[in-house]
Amino acid sequence: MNIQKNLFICLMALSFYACDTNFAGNSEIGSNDSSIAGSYSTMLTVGNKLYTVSKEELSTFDISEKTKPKLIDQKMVGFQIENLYHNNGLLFIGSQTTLYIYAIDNQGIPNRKSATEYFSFGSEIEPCDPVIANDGYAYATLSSRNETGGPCSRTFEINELRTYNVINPEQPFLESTIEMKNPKGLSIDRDRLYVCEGEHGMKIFDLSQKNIPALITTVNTCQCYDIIIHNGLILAVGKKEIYQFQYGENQSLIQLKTILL
Amino acid sequence: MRLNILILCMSVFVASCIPEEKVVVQGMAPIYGDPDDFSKISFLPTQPSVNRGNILIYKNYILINERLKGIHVYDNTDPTSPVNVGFINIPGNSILTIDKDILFADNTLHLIVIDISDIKQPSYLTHISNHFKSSLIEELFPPNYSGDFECAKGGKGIVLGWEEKTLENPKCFTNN
Repeated sequence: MNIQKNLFICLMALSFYACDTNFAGNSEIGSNDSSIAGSYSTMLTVGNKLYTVSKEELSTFDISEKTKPKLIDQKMVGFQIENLYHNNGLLFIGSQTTLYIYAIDNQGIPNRKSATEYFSFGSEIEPCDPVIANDGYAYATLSSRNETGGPCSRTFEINELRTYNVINPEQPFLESTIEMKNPKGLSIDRDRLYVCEGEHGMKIFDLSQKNIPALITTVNTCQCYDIIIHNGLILAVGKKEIYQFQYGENQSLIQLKTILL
Repeated sequence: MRLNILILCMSVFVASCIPEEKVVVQGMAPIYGDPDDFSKISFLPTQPSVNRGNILIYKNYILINERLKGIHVYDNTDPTSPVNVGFINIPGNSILTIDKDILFADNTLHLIVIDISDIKQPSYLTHISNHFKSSLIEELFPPNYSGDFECAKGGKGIVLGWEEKTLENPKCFTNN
């Protein structure tokens, strides 16, 4: 049994490397008739399955027949779920207190691999904000500041970018913590991690060392709360505007026209 | 949210201690809609953006949710000049994803399946009843607003928005 389990973990770990084609993504990037979402998504598709998280439950629908979606699985996850993210057959669910990891089996059913609490001292602190993952590492922003009207507690100041090693999704562990000002939505593209910090701008980290994001620069003019990247187009979502960038030389950012909402 | 509930409870408690007296104030009241009416799902001219929700990239479009109302559609074929081309009207909507030209969206209560092969002619296909029932409580206070409001009541339908109204003895208050 143990050998089997270890073998499974090995295979899982291998699959991370084998499957890591290039970009992180919330869905099957590449198909041009499906959507790419930011980091606050709570519903996404993988193959012919649709996954939704409500405040407490994770549901799986078979959507092979588009006029007849069929609920095939539903399980209790935890409380105050914030987001759902897919990477390489794993579903990452961020709640206000916990990072949950589910592995999708070959029937499309998610099974819990781990639940990692952000704090070991109870749930008195309820920071907001999502988790994303790529290539064996999960990145979560925790922030207690809330100017967008969400359900965050403000009883305790915490503003951090956490990096978890999830190469073994059954035993994630904290690799590094970076102090931030007000971290919100985030995204990964081309070995770069982009983190929106509201009025404090957008921070760009280098991920050459995936376990320790290294700050490259802060784009102060881009006051964003979430970020979506697809095909070299970077959308940073502000309160009343969407900033657009594309890559220039050496992955520098060229700002395009801002969409005013 | 926790704070809101606390304030709600406090105000009920305080109210119960005071002899009955009619208090009339200006505040917000919910606008209700019928969760089973899918006939309003349609493509409309551009609509004002008041309360932005999640954003998607889909084909050459940027789709921006307008909380509880639907989806702004921007044609971004040329990112140097994005054009707002219209609005997919889905009363009650705030959650969305698209797979193979099929839009999966909530209307606060149901999960709705909409064919958007032609984005300007969204076509309702089917829905899964009551899938988002457990999330309903999150919609029960007006966004970007501080002050008294009329508590939203289950059974009256889904909350599609909020309007200013003269309220008698409002039991709810928010500081958001």
